[in-house]
Amino acid sequence: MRPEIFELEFMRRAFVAGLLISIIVPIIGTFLVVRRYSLMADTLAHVSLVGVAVGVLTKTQPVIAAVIASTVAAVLIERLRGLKKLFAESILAIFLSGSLAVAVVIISMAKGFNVDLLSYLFGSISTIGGVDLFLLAVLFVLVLASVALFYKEFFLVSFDEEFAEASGVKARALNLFIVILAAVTVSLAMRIVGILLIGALMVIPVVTARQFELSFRNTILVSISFSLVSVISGLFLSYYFDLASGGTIVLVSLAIFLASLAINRPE
Amino acid sequence: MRKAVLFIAGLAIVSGIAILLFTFAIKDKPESGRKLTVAASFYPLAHLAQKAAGQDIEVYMITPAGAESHDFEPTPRDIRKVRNSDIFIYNGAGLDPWAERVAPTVEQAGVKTIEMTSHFSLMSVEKDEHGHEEDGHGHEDGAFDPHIWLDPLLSIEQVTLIGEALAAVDPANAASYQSRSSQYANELKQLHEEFSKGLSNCGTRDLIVAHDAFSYLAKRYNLNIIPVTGVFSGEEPSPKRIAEVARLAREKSIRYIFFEPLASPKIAETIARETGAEVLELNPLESLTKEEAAAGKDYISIMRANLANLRKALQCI
Repeated sequence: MRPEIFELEFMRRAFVAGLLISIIVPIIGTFLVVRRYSLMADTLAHVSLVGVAVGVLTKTQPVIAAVIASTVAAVLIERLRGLKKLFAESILAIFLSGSLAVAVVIISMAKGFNVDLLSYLFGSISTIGGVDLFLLAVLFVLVLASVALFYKEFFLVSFDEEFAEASGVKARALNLFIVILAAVTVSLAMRIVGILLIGALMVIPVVTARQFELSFRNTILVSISFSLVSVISGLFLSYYFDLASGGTIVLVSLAIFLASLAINRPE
Repeated sequence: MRKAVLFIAGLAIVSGIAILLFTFAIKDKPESGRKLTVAASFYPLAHLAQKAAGQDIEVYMITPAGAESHDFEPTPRDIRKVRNSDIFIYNGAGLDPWAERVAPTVEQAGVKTIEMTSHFSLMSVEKDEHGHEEDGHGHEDGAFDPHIWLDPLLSIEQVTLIGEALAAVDPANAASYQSRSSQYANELKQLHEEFSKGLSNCGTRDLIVAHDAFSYLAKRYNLNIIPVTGVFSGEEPSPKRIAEVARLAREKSIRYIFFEPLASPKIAETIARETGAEVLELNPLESLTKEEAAAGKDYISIMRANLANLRKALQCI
């Protein structure tokens, strides 16, 4: 007998999408967190909102527009960072608030539309379509393949850019690649947890895993486990208790973080 | 790593057990031999469905009391309720976007779905009958005004449609659905007569409303609506638009500005302050608040209250 939760097409889709996301997101997240780039995810998510607004205004696919917007922003952010004239943090702050301003203005131009904005801001598992799943599956393969191929280079760049450059790694190109992957991941994951919460899913499991002071590789593996547990139990909890799915998932990951803090207390 | 693996194993076991418990403990599947159930996206449709179906039949109103149907996002449970119903009625035309998304899926699962607005010729919102050309509120290509339930005569057609759908799904009780819906149609007809009589002899036919929900009502009773914001509520009007409406109000010496209970009365109050007018409530009935439901108010009684306020504002005798 199939449990009732899986009888609904959209719940099955939500689980498939959730599993894909919970594997990709912490991988990307690890590369960002070790570079003290945790805010990147949040920034790109806010830029995605610009894409959503453009998509709604022009009546095209908001998700695809979001992918484009956040990728462009990712490239611009990396370029600005490469100039070394501004703090990376300031660049992120400018993009985060600036894109929000752009999005709000575009949305105000799109008045009279059915902007079901809340479903983008906080996620809406009932709206995951076939296209979203397909794009997620493509991204899943892309992320796993590129991490498998360039693991060593990614690792070097994340920890010591200058050393990586010196050992013949094309640091700037790789950086750009990581950030673009992050941009695409954020835009695609926003349907599940929402724009405002995707940053949490990208960072919390990784920070939790880092409590255990493991090797880089094991940190990735452990953070994937945490995010899998968070997403799966979050989806179940939200279904059975009628709670918002994105928020529930993030709360579960926070609970895991607190538990790991407790067991990793310095003696 | 050992510690981490143990921690993860512990987490997995705890959540696995919890999930299994829930999966097998919680079951609200429909039992066999059950009665007909109807799901309706928001208040007016749930109300009409209940009237046509009778008190014995369960009508789920998915958008809960006091919530805006336009911003509403259903939980998985809501969608399951819709899927487990025999009939799903929703408005369409952008009023309940979630329902438009859910409808194809539940239709596939064998639920009879009715998109109410598809049975009516809708008023387009791009044409501008109020003489304000340059504002961009809600006048987009192909956008239609979804507020058909505010015209009592259109509500008669709706309740008839619902009665027919019930009869088609449950032919054994077809006669009772028919008689109930025609009985309610008569009550609505009476409401319509009260409106036509009550609004036949008025000092003015211009009224300012916060949100453009009353075009069907205005068309039926020959009123001239000046909306502050567009057809879809929840928009903030631009200062320019507020100034424009305030100017119109002064020109036409309008004494009352209408607001609606679910939205904040601030916009109406701002204009009222600018022009020295007072504010009055005009309920677009997209939802019934818990207080209203508890006080036994319903579609007809609120429409009557609307009529009373309209008569006051338009100085009808």
